[in-house]
Amino acid sequence: MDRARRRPVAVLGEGSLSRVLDLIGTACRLGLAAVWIGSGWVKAADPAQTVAAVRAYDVLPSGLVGPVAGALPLLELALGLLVLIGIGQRLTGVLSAVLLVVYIAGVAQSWARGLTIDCGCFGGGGRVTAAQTHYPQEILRDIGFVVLAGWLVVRPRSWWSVDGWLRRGRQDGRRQQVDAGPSPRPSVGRT
Amino acid sequence: MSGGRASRTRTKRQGKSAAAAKAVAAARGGRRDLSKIVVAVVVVVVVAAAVIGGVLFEQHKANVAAQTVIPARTVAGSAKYPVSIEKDATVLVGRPTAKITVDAYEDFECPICREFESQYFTSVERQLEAGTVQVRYHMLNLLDQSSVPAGYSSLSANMALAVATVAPDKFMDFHYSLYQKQPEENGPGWTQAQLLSLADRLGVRGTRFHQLVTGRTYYRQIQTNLDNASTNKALFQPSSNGSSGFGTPTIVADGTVVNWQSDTTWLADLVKTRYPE
Repeated sequence: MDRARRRPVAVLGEGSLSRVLDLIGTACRLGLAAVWIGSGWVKAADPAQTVAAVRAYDVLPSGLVGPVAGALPLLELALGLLVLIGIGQRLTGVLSAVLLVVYIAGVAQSWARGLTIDCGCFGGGGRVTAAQTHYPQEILRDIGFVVLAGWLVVRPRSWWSVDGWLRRGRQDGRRQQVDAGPSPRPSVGRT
Repeated sequence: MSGGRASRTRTKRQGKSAAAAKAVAAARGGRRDLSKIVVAVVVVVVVAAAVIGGVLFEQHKANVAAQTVIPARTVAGSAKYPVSIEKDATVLVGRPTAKITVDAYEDFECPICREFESQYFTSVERQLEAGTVQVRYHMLNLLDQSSVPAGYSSLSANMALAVATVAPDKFMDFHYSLYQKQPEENGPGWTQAQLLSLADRLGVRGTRFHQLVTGRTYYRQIQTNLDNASTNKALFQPSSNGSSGFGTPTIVADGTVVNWQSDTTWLADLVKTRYPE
């Protein structure tokens, strides 16, 4: 009826399917945030190990290893925070997916080249880092994370998100406008 | 029919208010796009700030490290025995009459080498002064890539060899100082300026010294020594992942690789054997 015609389109989605999809979106978002915050935290806690890890990929020119190893922990933490509060979910989903694809490419080329992490510095049973042999598992795990990010790109809706708060604000604004409506014109007799 | 006309009118009014609402919404649509733009800008700014902040912080750490003054440590007894640089860019210290020769394959960036030096320096020094042992230092660049930027191993080894060339009596001081204050592994290595400052405070200076340093005179020989050691099966030791290979430190006493981490009396035993009372 009148109210139905005037209801803004965006309020659609109060059905149970949409609720389930929002739940999945929330789970993806929180999972992805946990991944970035956890990974960034570990990197930030051991900068020397991060440098060694970046160098192990043997793909960057030597001059870039330091800056990249310096930037990665903060980048992951920042991304994790943005994903956690759910602001710009589609954009952060895209950025997350891009970064993950870069990681996957790095691991894949390490695997293809048969690289191992080996500091070569030891003394009769001292510290040699074991060869990195978990390439397939790492790639699969990262692909899983890409799926989480991809969901947010396709359907950037979840509960308790800044995006949702902003969207509700806009909808309320529009609904108020529509309800207020233009002042009724006397139209009796006009055709 | 009034009912029909009324309902048509109502419909018309609904149509007009719907159209009006759309017009208002279109004007409001500017705000929707604006908030989306603001969100996108916030995300991009936060991410960019994180990346820039990370890079700047890393540079700041490197700057702080570059200001460290490497303390100049002296080895008091080193005047008691000769020190000479050999043609293959190794440094032989100790009296030639010594019956025992120890070959020490080391890298200035290597933390385990530092452990070896701090654990055995006193006993080695005592034997050097007593004239029972000669030590040949093979300073290698195995861990060139472990410093950020790469190259500290070559830089320090080259300068140590330069010291051994122009001021052999200061070599042990320089060698000891660098192990007493080692740069962080996978971090910024000491710069050429910092190493030159250390040499200067030890009394090593002059044009010839600077030429040897800036000309990287021993770089190629250092690399050759590394290549030879890496392929010398007699120097291989087992590593924790099962395979065996060359690494630093490798300590060889009279031809056999010493397991100095488990056999803490290797030197005393060797001296006792070769110099029975």
